[in-house]
Order: sequence, then structure tokens, then C-alpha cells
Amino acid sequence: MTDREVAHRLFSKEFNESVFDINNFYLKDESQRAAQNYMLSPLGRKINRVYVVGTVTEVDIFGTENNLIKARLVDSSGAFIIYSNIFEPQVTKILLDTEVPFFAAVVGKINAYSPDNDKILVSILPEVINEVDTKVRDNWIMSTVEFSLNRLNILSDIVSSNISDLNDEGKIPENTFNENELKYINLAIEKYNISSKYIKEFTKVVKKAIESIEITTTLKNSAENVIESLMIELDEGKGVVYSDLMEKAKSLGLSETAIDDAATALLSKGRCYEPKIGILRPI
Amino acid sequence: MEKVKSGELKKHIEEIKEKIELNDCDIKRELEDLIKYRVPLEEAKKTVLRKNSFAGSRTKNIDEIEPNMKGINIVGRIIKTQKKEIKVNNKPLIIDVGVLGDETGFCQFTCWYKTSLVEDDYVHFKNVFTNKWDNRINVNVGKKSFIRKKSNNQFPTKQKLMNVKKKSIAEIIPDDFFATSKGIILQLFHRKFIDENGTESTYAEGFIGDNTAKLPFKSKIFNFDIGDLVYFSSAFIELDDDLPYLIFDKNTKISKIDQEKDEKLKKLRYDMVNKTHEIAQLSDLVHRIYFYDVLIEGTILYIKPESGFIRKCFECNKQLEANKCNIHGVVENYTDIYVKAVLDDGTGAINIVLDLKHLEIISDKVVTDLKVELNNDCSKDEIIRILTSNLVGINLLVNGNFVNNSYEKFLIVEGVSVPQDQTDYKLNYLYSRLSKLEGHLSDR
Repeated sequence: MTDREVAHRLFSKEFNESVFDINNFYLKDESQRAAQNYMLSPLGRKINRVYVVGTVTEVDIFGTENNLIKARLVDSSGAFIIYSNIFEPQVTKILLDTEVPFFAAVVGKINAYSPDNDKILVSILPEVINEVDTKVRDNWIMSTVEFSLNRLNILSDIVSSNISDLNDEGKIPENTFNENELKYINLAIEKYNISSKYIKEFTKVVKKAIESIEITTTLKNSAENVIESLMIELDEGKGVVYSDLMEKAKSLGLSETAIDDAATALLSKGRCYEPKIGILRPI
Repeated sequence: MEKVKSGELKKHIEEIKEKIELNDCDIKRELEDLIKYRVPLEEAKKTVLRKNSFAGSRTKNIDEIEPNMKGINIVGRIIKTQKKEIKVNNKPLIIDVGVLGDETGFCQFTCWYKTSLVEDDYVHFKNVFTNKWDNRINVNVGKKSFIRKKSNNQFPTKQKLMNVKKKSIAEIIPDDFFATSKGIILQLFHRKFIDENGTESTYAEGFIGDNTAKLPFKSKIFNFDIGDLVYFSSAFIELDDDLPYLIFDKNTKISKIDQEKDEKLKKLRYDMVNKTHEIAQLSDLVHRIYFYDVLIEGTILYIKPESGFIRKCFECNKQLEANKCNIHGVVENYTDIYVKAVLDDGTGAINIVLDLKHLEIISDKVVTDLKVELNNDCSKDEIIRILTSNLVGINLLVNGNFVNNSYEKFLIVEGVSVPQDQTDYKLNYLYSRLSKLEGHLSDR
């Protein structure tokens, strides 16, 4: 039985630059097509399925019979383009019924097409799409950064060493990649002319991605601070009724889930306690 | 209908008999059967010959056989044999099942009729066919096969064949049939059981492991304790739902190793082997056949359409089939949820099965949503939608036993948890790696 394709986690910059068709799937003659399409990414991934998380910013219906949906999923380095048939109930329901912008997790397959013959564009054909929270997004960014760093490390080692020495055993420094993966990394260097300049550029993309997490973390902390100060302000010795606190905090522009999270965090940190159900009292 | 005179038929039967080993009755029956369906006599003769001849077959070593081979010959020694009573089309049938071995390996065999085979017989199986049973290659001795018992003193004895090469525990695979290795007793229980004669005795079961992997074992007589380093040879590998376990029986040699004498062995200690879990990568796991007790962190990416509500038996917690339990019959039952999901960690993908008690750990919301729908008697699509919208994208930490059979790769889930929020720790780690990389790049 064939294995399920691994869902690669990658940033939109890497995804949109994956224009090399590994097994000539997009040959003009359909009879010569391979069974599955694989695109080669600049960091040497052999991509078929991807798992990406970002913010959906635009959703459009188009096509001659209004049967296609196009959506933009934005991450810290750019945007993924998603094309889906309107008859995919799960995908359509989420994309059309949710108000943009929202965080979404998308599992799908890579699809390439060239409007004119010299340029290749890639998009995602979604299998599953789901509205998610910031926690899922942060987790995705962290794992994507880790996977990208693994690849950038080996790429910089290979690029900076003498190319002719590559095949000698022991020249490739210790890494977690097997022979097959190394083959595609070397192919990517050859096809995309990967230089240390490109690696530096990509390192900046990774850095930007990590920084985008910290901003949300500080936001979370600030929500906690706001709730705590509100609690101290409202407390008249017997604690604060939770619904009152919620109303006051909402008027300051915080969302209901953020308030809930902040209150739970404060409780678990021991900065306040619950003398009765529904009443919080700061310490 | 074309009439064939009985005298004429006899001539043809004689002709066929010269070429194949089959008795008159069978040839006549097969020929007449074909003639009844208006097959020309010449064509019928060819068909009977082709069906029964194994002229093209040749003797194969056990390591050369594959599933779905026909008309092959095998020579080997019977290592184990056991009579079994089964039912075929509601008729009782006694068959012989066992293990056959030669210098290249072992295989299972099934004789579909009663035989006088005993252990240590040197046999010649002719015109047998193979299939796959219990994830192992099985040699079938059917009605058209022959068994020849021979004596051959040159051929290795049973004991010699069973004494297989020493391996580390992670290298032991079910197709080996016998294992020789060393390991530390990690867990040990003594259980009582009552055998067919009504006498009560105890047997020991537990886990044995080295620093590569661990395996469960069962033994009737066991004089060792937890933490002992033991050497065992010729232990039989039994399969239970595609997962192997070792059987220490009368053929197995087992002895305690004195660790003090050898510097190398001092490293193999209980606390080193029974270490706390490390998260395994799926890319390391998916090419294995099985692995006991692994911990995986991954993301749920897909809910398979076969998920939904099921009914389970109160006594054995197994799924009911047509409102009946396979073991207990019509019983009191309860509703559970069956969630088949794909878990992916970016290096590989496997299937996991979750039930209600796992979902309760993951998210309260999905459980409340499902309970509402259970009362509303909703459609299957709606359940899949609820599961997808609540579970896809969630990071999970699961542990259990990994199985890779011919149909799928999956984890028998024992425990599920949602990983702790380690954002701060992970960010620090990633920043340090990033600055290291930036340092390298600016140097060059």
C-alpha cells in the first residue's frame, strides 16, 4: 500500500518559489503524465501535500459558472493562493460562512499552472480547511521555523563548502537528513542556483516569522495586566462578579476569549482566586 | 450435448495419468464436469493438465517464497506442529498448522487435512501454494499437494535451525520466527491460569528490553527478577493482532548474565533502558513493522469518513456487529465515538483511533457538541463536520504501540495529552539556533 504523503510545513515565500516540476507531471501530453505531481522547493523539499496556517484575507467566487473559490492566506512572508471547487462542502462552508479576516489551517495539495509559457504559478488545492486560534498558528510557525532552520543549516554548509567535494563521504556535516532528502537538497541548489545571499535572505524571513509570535505573546500578557488592574479597581473587599468584569473589559476592546484566557491564566498563576463560583478576588 | 463413450474417456484418462499424479476418479470427474459445460474434449484435457500439473515448478528455499505463489515444492524440517479444529462451511475439519524451517529461514504451514506429521520430521512438500495469513507468509498443503517424509541426517536438526543469529531487540521482526538476544527484564507479572485438565499453574509475563527497543514475553517457568540482564536463544515469536511477543518455552535457553565481569555490559542498566519517553519522529518509525511504546507529537490533519458513533459491549468494550458482541452475544451496550484521524508531524503520517475518553482530554467543546448531536439523531456528515472543525490543526501528544501491517500504518493509542504550552522555551531555542546560523553566514 502506498504511504500517505507527508504534509510539509513551509512559509509562503518558499512555497511560491517552488516552480521546478520533479517528475514532469505538467507535460503537455496527458498520456505521459506521472501518477503524482511533486514540486521541488528552493530549500530542497519534494512537495505534494502541504499544511499551512495563516490569515484568510480575501475570498472570491469566480469562474464561468461561479463554481470556483479563490482565497488568499497570508503568513509573515507573503501569501498562499487557494483555489477550490465550490462543490467541496467542507472547504466552501468555512470560506464563505466565516467573516474575513480569520486564522485558518489548510491541508491541501500543491497545484501548478502557467498562464503564459514562461512563468509558473503555484497554488493550494485544499482538502481540509479549519478556522483556528492563535495557539495553532503559533505552534505552526514554531514547527515551520524549526524545519526551515534544519534545511538552511545544511544548505549553508553545502553551499559554502567546495561543490566538487560534496560526494565524498564525511564532507557533509552531521545532519538529520537521509540520502534521498540530500539528493533533493542538492538538486534544489543546482536548479535554483542557491547562493549564500539567498540563504541570508531566507534567514530574514524566518526571523520575521519568529518575531510575529512574540507580538501576540506580549498582547496576551497585556490582556492579563489589564484584567488584573481592572479586578483591583473593581474589588471592594468581597471580590468581583465575573460578568461585571467581562462587561468592563469588553468596553476596553478585549474579546471574550481573550478575557477568559487571561482570567484563567491569572487564576493558575495564583494572582487571584475564586472564593465563590463566578466571583474573582485579586490577591 | 457431445457424448463421449466411456471407453474413449478411459483412453484419455490414461493419457493424462501418464503426465500427472492424480487418480482415475478425480480425472474423470474433472473431465466430465468440463464436457458437461460443452468444452471440447481436447480443450478439456489441456485444462485438466494445466490445472493439476506442476511440471514447471521447482524446489524453493524458504527465503525465496512470496505470497500468492502456486505449484511450488519446499523441503524442510517441521519445527512445530499442532492440530486445530476449525469449521469450513459449518462442517468441522481438523487441520495441521505449524512452522517449517530450512537453512534460509522459517515459514508457517497449514495442511488442510489430517496428517501424521510430528516435530523434527524432514519433509518434502510438493505442489503447494502460498498466501499471507496473520501478516506472515503461509504455505498451504491442499488436496492436490503431496507430503513425502524422508530421512536425511545431513539436514540440520530442529535445535540447530532454531538457534538463530543474535540480534538486538529492535532488529527482531515477526518473519524471523525465532529470536536470540539479550535484554533487561523491565516488567514482570505472575498470572494464574487453569489449563484444560483443570490444574492450576502460574506463568510469567512482562517486558524485556535493551537500549534499542522493548518486547513483551510470556513464560511458564521464570526464575528471574526485574532488573536482571538475561540472555535467551531460540525464543519463539508469536503474533497477537500484528504485534509480536516472545514465548520462552522448553526449547528456549535462558540464562542470567553477570554484568560485573564485562565493562561493556555495565552500561546496560535498568534505569538506562527504562528511560523516560523521548518523542519519536515518524520518519524513523514508518519503515518499521512494529514498535512498542512510542511517544509521538503531531498534528491532526484529517478526519476519515468512517468515523462516527458506534455501540460497544459492556463486558469486553469491543464494537458490536449487527447488535451482537462476537464473544458475549446479545448484551447490554453503550454508545462510544470512533474517530479515525491522520496524525502528521511533518516527517511522516500515520492513522490513530480515538474514542470518547480521549476526546474528553483533548477538548470539552467537541464532547458537548457531539452529545447534543447524539440526541438529535444527526447525519454522519454532520458528525464528521463537528470533528473536523474541532480537531483539525490541534497538536497532540500520543503514546501507544505502532503497527505497520499490509493495510495501514497506525498507532494503537494508549494515552493522549495536549502538549504543555512551551512557547517561551521554544522561542528561546529557535532564537539561539537562528543567531548561530546568522553568525555562520556572516563569517563566510
